[in-house]
Amino acid sequence: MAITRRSFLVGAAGAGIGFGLGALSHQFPLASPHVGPDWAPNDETFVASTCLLCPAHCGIRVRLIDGRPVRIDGNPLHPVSQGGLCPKGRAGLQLLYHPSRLKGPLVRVGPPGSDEFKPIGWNAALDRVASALSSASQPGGATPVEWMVGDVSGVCGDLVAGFCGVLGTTRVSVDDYRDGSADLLGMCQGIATAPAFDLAGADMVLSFGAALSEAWWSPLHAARARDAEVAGRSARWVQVDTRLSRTAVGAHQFVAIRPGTFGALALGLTYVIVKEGLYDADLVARQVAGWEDWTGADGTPHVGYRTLVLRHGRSDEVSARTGVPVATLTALAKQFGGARRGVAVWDQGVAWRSGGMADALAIHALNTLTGRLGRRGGLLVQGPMPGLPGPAEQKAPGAVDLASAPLTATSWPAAGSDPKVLFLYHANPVASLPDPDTARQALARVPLVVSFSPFFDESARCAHLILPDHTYLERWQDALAPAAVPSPVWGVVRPVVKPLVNTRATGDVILGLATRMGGSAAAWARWKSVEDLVHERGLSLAGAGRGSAFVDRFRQRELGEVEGRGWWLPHGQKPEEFWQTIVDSGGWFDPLIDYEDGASRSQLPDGRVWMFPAEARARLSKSGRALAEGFLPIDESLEARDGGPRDFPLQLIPFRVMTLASGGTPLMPWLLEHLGALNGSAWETWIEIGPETARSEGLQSGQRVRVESSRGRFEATVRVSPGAQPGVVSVPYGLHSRVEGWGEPNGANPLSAVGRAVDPVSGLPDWQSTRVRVVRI
Amino acid sequence: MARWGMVIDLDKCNGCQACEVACRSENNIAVGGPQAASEHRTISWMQVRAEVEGEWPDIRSRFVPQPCMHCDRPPCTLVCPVQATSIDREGIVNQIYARCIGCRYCANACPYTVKFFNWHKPDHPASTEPGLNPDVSVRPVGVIEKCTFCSHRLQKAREMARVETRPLREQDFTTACADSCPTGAIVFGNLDDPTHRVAELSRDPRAFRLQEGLGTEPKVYYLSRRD
Amino acid sequence: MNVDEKLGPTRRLALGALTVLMAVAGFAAGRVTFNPNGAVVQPIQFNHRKHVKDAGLDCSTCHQYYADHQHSGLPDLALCTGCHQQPMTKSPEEAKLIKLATTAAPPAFRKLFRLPDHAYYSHRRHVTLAGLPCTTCHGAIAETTAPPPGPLVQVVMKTCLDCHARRNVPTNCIACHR
Repeated sequence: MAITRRSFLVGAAGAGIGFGLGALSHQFPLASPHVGPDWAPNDETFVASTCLLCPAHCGIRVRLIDGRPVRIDGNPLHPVSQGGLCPKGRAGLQLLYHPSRLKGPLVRVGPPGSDEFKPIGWNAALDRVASALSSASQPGGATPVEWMVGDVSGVCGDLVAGFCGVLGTTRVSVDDYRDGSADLLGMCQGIATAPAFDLAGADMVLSFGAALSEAWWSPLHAARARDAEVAGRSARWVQVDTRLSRTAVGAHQFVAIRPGTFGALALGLTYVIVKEGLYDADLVARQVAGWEDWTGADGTPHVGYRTLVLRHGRSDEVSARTGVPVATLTALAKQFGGARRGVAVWDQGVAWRSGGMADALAIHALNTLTGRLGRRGGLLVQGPMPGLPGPAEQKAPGAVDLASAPLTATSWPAAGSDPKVLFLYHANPVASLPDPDTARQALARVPLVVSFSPFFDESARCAHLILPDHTYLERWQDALAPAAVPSPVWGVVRPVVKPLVNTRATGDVILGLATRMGGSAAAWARWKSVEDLVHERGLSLAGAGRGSAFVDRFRQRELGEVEGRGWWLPHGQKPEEFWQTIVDSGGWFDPLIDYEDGASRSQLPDGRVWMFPAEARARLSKSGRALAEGFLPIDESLEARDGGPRDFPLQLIPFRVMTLASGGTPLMPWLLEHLGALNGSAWETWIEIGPETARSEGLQSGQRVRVESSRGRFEATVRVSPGAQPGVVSVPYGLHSRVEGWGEPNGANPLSAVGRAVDPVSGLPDWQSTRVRVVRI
Repeated sequence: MARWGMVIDLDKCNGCQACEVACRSENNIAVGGPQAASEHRTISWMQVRAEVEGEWPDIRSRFVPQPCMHCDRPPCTLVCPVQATSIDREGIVNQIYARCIGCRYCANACPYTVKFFNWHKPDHPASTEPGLNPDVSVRPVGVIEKCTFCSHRLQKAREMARVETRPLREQDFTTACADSCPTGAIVFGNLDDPTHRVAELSRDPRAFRLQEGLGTEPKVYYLSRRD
Repeated sequence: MNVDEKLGPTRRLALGALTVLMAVAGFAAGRVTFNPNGAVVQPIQFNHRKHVKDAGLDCSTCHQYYADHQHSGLPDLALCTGCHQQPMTKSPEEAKLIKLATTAAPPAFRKLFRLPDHAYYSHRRHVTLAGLPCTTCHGAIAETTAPPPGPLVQVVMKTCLDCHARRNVPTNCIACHR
């Protein structure tokens, strides 16, 4: 067939159009190729800093490629975490790179409650807050400024406290995990700090529900200590718990116990120890009070704990109450009494219950009786931290102390007048409180709510201004180790990367606000920045005459021995050198644990350690519970609440999970992907029930249910596990907060069912006295 | 020649899952989300599983961290029609993503269920891309992926050893999970080198392997006082 | 020509098929010619021969990383102005360089080789440790007087494997795949 003119033209036109389309096709790719930067040297560096995602404040070592953080590991030089890091610390990367981070400050444009915000400049935002503060803190107004803070530590906590002093307000509420043990030590020993547990030196650790492998004060301290060889043999860890927790699985022995009977078990153990003569009678006679009968200063006779134990601690009765078989109880008591370096540990699992103080006192009495106070492997008091200069340096009477400020969960919103300005710093009350509507209404009553959240969380949505903070990987700060570890550690938090978005460190914002307000406020804010402040603190440590920048483990031991003999080896000639070494290694610590300093024995005037002191007895007698003798941890009223077992046949016990945060932190998808290792739960709130309960309630694994109490309700998915005890519903706490945009869990706040229950004795939340029923949906 | 293997001490594991997250971070494992979780399609090269037996209050339990077993006689490689997965001369069972056609035969052949299919395009939001590990490629949709014993670290470690003209030492090459374990439960090394800790531990009287009866000869050993 | 104006069904079909065929061919040709990844355009018409042969510069003067990094590294224009702060020649390209280098975001030299993410190639391993000359993969790049639009030597997996086999270097998958 010959090529005609027509076919040539048509063909050429087709080819031309095709060619054009082909050339254009690159503009509309079907699949976008993975195109990175053209090339990069991929230089690897490591920077030491401190994790701020929970109160443990472990050392971190961030791997950077060309300055970008790509992995977070533990800092091997850190004296407590020793290179270990929990999954949450590793997932901090997802906080830094979270797609929903706020890109800069925002101001509300819509009506309260709406999500309508628009960007605002930092200067305009600060001016607005400063002028509101100036007009609010005119004399005459009663505490017009209020702060609500979460887990803040070091300089940032001190800046808040100091700024409150400048503003003339004491209205601060805190969302922390205090367990009342500082209160208890104050009554028993006159020491106003929470105890430290020398887990690494203990050959037996008897944990009363303490979440040592989970949400304890320093899970890494516990992880490092558990398999330690003590005096030539491996330590024995026993977990007494109401459910098969992670800690229980990881312990050498799991002792199952009924809810609310930890103290009763401690009483029963004491009974056996007394009967078997396994306690240090000589030491008790010399140093302990409250063991034998005594007469108070006002002439009132008191029955000694010894008599009470013999009266109420009989093994068969305790066994019937706690569900722990007599043989187990006896064996446990003999083990603990016979251990050379045993220690009994408790935490919120004991304390966050109405009457929980009685249980804690009975557990602490075990330590006292067996002479474990101030001994290697026993209960210690963390050595003193050298005084650090800073914004809350002078402790004026009436000044704000965050450690003893009221808990948000139990006290907010306070009755009476609403503040004119409310700051939310690492706090998300709308999500963390049982009743979001109450929290929203309380926020709506405040003329100016300022949130420092880096995310658009539930409470930030109710704010008028959002001044997003840097993440902890972008800012300066310092962080002390929790009181539960034996020696003081001062971790430096330093920016490992330049701020990724237009955020600003809240500490610097506070200093900026004070400067803008002028007068005494400006005089107080004498530091250029938080960095300046941390630097000043680091320099002051050069003059402390003890301690060292972080060093490896062998050097730690060496320095400890040197210091024990009264010597000190400074690790730098000039203070600046000293500081630089601290920054490079991650922080400062005191290598010496002085077991001989007597710091943990008693600071009371009579020099004695008290068991169930009169003050505690008096406080407990007002608990409103039917406690034996008015104060012993034997509670006759457990079953009688909430209309009895017929309407609400099950007991609810919320527990805390290592990877979930309190209020302020959004949830990192890595952590949600495999949330409940024990039952395979992911991305949702679950309840754990035993097979027996599942049968009686007609429930199956995987079903969605509503858990109802007389106070409220929440939804969850059922997981049937042999590790859950009959009649008990356990539920993880911490999935209440969510940030839209990446990895949104199907979470619920179990506190909706718990309500605002407070233990009147300790002022702590009461999480374990709620009866519920489970309804299929 | 090295024979890489792992020993996991179940008596030491406390179930913290640091290994899981360290693995995700090191190997750029995408977030599956609630949807994938509900379909049992979450990708996790390392998984801490829990064994819970008995009746309340007499419960026996332990955590079993489970990576790929890197079998000496791997069933997965036998069924691959395109040789995208094979056992390396040093015992690492590899997966070559560019070669994989996504037939999922290997995932079905694996008795340990540690081969994962990318059912969806891996989700790495743009803001998280700077946080990806440049040493590991991001997998496309439609291929199988699995634990590699962090073989990208071996590539670099071997190169570094040659730069410093010395043999590869035990501490030069370890996996992200072994690195991350705060209780030291996971140990990695050369099973054939008597100076490596894994060689000694794998001969411990407590040592066993999962589903030994299948004859897959796994190179991940477990230690447990319990049977 | 009434017959031609009204085409028979067979011819009409043939013409249609031809058009489609030509359109497909044209599409492919257009796609290849205008592939943005196919041709690499450099900001400056850099003359390798002048710098290497005439000026006697070492490769590492500009490719600073090849000895101890994965990537060889490409110079940024700031590096060029280390020598070319003042014009050294009358070359219009040099004038362009000096002008570009002072802009706020100077353009960068682009690399020719596009290695997929899943393959590991290290210059240190091949150049420093194995002692391969640059020409093995880069050919006569040092002789060029203008930047080539693509690699002078086509390197595909077979190139790697053949070379590895010849030199008795491991060819196992995970020596390179990742």
